[in-house]
Amino acid sequence: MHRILKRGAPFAVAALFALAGLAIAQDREFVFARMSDSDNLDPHAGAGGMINHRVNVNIFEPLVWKDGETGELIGVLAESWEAIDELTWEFRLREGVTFHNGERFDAQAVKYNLERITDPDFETVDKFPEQVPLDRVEIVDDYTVRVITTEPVPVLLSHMTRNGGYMVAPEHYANTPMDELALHPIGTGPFRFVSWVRDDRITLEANDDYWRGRPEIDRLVFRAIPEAATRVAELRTGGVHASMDIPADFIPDIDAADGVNVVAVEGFGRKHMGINQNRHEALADPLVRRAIQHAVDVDTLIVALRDGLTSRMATMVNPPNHHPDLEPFAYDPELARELLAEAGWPDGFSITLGAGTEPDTQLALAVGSYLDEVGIEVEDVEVWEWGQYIQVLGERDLPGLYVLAFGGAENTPETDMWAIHPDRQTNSTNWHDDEWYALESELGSTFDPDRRQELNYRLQEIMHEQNPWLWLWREPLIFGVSDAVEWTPRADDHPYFYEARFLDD
Amino acid sequence: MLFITGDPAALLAGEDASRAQVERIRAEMGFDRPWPVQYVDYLGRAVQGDFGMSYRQRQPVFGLIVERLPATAQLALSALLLASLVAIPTGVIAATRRGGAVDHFAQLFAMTGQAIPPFWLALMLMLVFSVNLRWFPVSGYQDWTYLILPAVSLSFAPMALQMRLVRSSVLEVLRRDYVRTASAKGLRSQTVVVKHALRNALIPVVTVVGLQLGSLMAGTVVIESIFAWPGLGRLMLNAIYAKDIPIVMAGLIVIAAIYVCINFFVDLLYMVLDPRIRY
Repeated sequence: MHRILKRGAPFAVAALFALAGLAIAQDREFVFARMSDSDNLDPHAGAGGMINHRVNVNIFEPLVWKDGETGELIGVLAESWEAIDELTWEFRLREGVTFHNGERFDAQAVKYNLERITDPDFETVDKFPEQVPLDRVEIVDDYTVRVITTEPVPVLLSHMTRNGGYMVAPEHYANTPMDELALHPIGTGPFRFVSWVRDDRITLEANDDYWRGRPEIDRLVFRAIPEAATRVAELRTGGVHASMDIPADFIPDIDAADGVNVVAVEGFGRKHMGINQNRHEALADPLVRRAIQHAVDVDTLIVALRDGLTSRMATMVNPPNHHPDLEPFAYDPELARELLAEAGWPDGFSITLGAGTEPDTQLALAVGSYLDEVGIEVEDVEVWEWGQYIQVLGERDLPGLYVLAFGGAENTPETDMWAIHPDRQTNSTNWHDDEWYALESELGSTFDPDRRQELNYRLQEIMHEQNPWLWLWREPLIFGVSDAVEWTPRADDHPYFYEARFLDD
Repeated sequence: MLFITGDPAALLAGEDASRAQVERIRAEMGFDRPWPVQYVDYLGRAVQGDFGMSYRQRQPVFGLIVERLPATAQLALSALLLASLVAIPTGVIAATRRGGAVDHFAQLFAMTGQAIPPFWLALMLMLVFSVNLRWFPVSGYQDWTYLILPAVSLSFAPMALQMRLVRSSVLEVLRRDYVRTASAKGLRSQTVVVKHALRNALIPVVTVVGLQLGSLMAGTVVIESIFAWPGLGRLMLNAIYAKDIPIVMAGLIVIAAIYVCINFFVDLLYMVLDPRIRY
């Protein structure tokens, strides 16, 4: 026995080293930092907020998704699809896909998922039930399913690309309490859930059985680091491999550091300033609102506040759906003064501005100084606590000009213009235009692509004539990324890590 | 709490929600009921130990708070232990060797330690020891190495206060008759200071340390944020911003309970320090 042990010793040592090597290899974690932690990983129940979505996009999959670069619809769990009529969509599902717990993905799973989130008794704050008015789901065969809505939804596929359209494991979700599901997500995606230490880290691991093949990285960690200075320090010391939420002020720090680079993407999120027409009679005049567009040097603001990393918008709609002939208004304070005089306000008037976050306050202050120059006296910049800001937004009583950001991940004309629909909380401008609302309503049920484009462009022309908002820019998404990894951020703000890898692997 | 500011339903729904959706969420969460009904309902459940569910996280709030306590306690206790370990001996030496080098240092530190803002100190420590020297990890909550910088950053202010207090308290006690008597009967000065002076001088110090522990246990938002430490302070701050009222209410109750417990132990400690005190 003793001899056997002795003889075996070199092998044992070699095996130990091999094991140790394996352990090191397995320890290879890709660490991604962000400002806030998730609050609920059940994709259907959680708020539509991006903080949950950014993790979920790596765990769950929808039937269809958008290409990160082109924005075109691509099949994920659906191989193909077609609109049979205005109310019926048929999906041919991918075969051989399993959930992380071994459950099979099939037509029954799709039926369960769509019925789960649209069930009136299901507690959700997601917009999906409203966006997709589901009548019923019909199973044609094991891998073919028909989704039937009560009214036409031309952009149904875009609505299905996000949280509400993610497929969860039916057996598990049907038989587990909601508070447990918030903590233990099970999907079909490239990474499976491992653990969550709240306000610290969420750990995922590669799904060995993923239908597109195992991801390159073994473990994916989402860390919640509230302070920007700390996120940058972690990047510099290699504690994290990539970080989102990098404020433009920190770009020089990252540029100066070795081994880390700034990667900026023009996001689909947008920032504009609403013009509340109830706050001053002058603001109800389209001429005055046009004067405001000419009064503010948006290009300079982009350089000063966003490090020049984004471009201006002429209206509310992102590319590729934006009207190609509409140009942003030129900075021309002289013209702004003339327009104000023409509107009957040669001596200007006084308003206040509003902001609900610290960076928005900087923006409001800068805009205020431009307005002052053309005679619109800014008496005050009111800074609100965010929760209260949202409440007053819903009451349509924010100051004369107020800063607001909009998402845009779905990237359709109707979702991009949602914010100024009369029924939206965001429409705090009290602007109303009968033609615009009629056309918007028509767009919401029009399938014909030519007619859709016509409607979309006309809607943007009206916005450009009426200017209910001061049009600003697409928000840049600024990341710090280590030289040790290869990872490309997406414009729709979904940090997706299937193709991420370590460069020395 | 419901009246302070903001509308939890509107916040949950998001900026671009429709009015109908906000109303639906309001009804789901029970905010559409009259507030006395909501309050009585809350009290009824709270006395049975049910503090409700977090609006955002959809988790029982008591669990959310309890899971933060170990991280909070680790940070608070280690910061305070460090503060006392440095402050008490330094304060005693400063008092017994008044005007000496240690005394000058103690007085200088007592001023600067309280004047330095903790966030500045934290960022400087991070820059020097994590970014430049790479001795400690920058942030996070894993093994003991992650605890050092946040604990040191947090310890300065209580350390300075304790140092000043110990010094003045010992100085005062040293002038008392019983100390003079103890010295007169030929005890070694070390024995006089430790056994007779320090023990009596510690009573106000213990009171202050108890209060310091209470406030540290209530969470230290700035330090927790800088070092990404998952403590009670961050939970409470995020809950306040998100209008997650059940977390805020239960959090306040837990913090109040912690204060009461600490004060109780401080009172017990008085008896140990001064046998004349009886309750």
